[in-house]
Amino acid sequence: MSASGDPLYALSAAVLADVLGRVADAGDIAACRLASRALLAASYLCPPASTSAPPTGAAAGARAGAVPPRSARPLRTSPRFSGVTSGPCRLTRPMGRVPPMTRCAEVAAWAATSAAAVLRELEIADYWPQACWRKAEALPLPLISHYCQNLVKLGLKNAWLSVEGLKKMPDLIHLTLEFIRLDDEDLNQLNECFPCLHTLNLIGVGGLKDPKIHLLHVKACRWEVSNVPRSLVVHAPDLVFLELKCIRPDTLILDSPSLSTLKLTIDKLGATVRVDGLLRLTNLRIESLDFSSLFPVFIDNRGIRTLELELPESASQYELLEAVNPDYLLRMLASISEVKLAPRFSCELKLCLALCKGSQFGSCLKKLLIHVPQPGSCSHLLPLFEICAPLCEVTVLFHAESADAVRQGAISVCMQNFPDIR
Amino acid sequence: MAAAADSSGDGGTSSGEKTIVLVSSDNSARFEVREAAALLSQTVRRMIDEAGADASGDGITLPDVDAKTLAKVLEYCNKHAPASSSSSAAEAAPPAEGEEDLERFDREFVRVDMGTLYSLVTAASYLKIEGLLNLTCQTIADMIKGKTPEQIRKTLGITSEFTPEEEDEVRRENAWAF
Repeated sequence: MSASGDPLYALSAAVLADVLGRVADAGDIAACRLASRALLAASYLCPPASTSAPPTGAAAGARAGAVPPRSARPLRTSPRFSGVTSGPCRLTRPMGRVPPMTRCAEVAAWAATSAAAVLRELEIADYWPQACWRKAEALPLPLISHYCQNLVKLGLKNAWLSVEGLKKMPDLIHLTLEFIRLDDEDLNQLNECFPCLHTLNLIGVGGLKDPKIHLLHVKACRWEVSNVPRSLVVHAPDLVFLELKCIRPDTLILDSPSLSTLKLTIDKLGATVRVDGLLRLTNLRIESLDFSSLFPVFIDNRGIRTLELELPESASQYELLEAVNPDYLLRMLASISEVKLAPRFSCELKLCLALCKGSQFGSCLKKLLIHVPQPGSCSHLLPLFEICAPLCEVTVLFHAESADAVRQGAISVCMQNFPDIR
Repeated sequence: MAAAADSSGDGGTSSGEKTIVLVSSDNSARFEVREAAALLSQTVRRMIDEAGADASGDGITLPDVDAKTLAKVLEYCNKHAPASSSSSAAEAAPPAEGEEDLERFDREFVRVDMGTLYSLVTAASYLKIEGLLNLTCQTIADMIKGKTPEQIRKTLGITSEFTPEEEDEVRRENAWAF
């Protein structure tokens, strides 16, 4: 029977893509692509999906000792190399012991094919987080920059990355590095070779000394950094969203005049802080105990409209009391339109509110969200309700195990004493 | 293949449930089925809605489904249709059969040759019967798992049409998997 007479050809491309989309293993998809042109074409149409499952079936022979993890949910996998439209490609290294050079060799061998040249999206992740500690298995990132010049989106996880020989990738606009050891202490190579990024995610990236993000077009950035770097600098004129998690940098410079949303998790603000360019900052989330430093820098004399406050996990109510004067806190909250007090902050607020002296000042507070720990009542929240503006919308989230009587009681007290609150 | 027709002649079963007549592509067979079973097909539902007041008693012709395949499809629909005959209940009510019974039925239903399986998946796609499409596509997908390219060709009844150069190129592109 000739190929065109094969009954498989009677199935539409959409149906074949549906079938291949249900094949859970990347190795099986690869076998299908080798089986016939129709299946090869259909694999370009499969919906993309991520997987951390190791190859099985025909591909398993090359991975001696690879065992599917019991907890792995079978996910739909579809490595796609598209010559026409963008198609994500996800390569996940399996469990099992593989010689170090095999890793570089396999990425290099794949990168040199015509498939790599047309890729628009690529994610490479090692199954083992410890891979970022092994320099011998450094991923050939420069090879990717050399062969995958059309990449728009790149994600790398669990690896040690060398940047020697890295070429400029002007089309790359999304970059995610997660649990990466990067041989680029100050991020100079990253800034130079990925100049057109719109989104940058640096999550648990190590090997940094005095990192500076200097990107003219980046609009959104997530940066989680350890306590090793002593200075953190962001020069990004178009940056609108920044989520920064750090420990206690000596120097923090945010030169981002377009920034409107900042989520900051920090143990302690250092001596050198420059954030005077944040004229458009309106949405702020702070997770810290260092309020005495942070509030004057980020809230006072700014037009903050929404504020969320949270404490570090180990913080106690006494530490909160030491960190911020209760009356100052109330006055500050009253100057914000929308306030969310996250669970730990809400929980430790009780002592603080008990020591408030008065709340006779004007208020802009129109929306308030607060959590009530179990088993508690919410009588301690009365000082907080007193600073609410008329028609303020208050949301109290009770613990799931709170008794109905407690909830009803709180609502009654609130409605009796604060009829203006919704 | 003859259709099973009711004796009332007025578009209803002997129990008074509304029925719909479906005609195969070659006009060789007419099938009178419960409305609830027919409406498992979104294509049939749309055809009825579009015909509206112009709907005739001659039945709905399905141009892309031959008699043998239509009979098999309707076997599935009759089994999976809800007990009630109203169109809204067809969407919300559970099928009359228990879940285990349906699973057993489905397993046996797809024990067919590849030609029939391909016809069923094509018909399910054209008729937009979600459950049948899921069942048949998943069956083919399960046949592919764990097989080499040669085994996949043998199972699916296909021949390799790659030139040696083309096969080398595809093999290199996918070398990471092998």
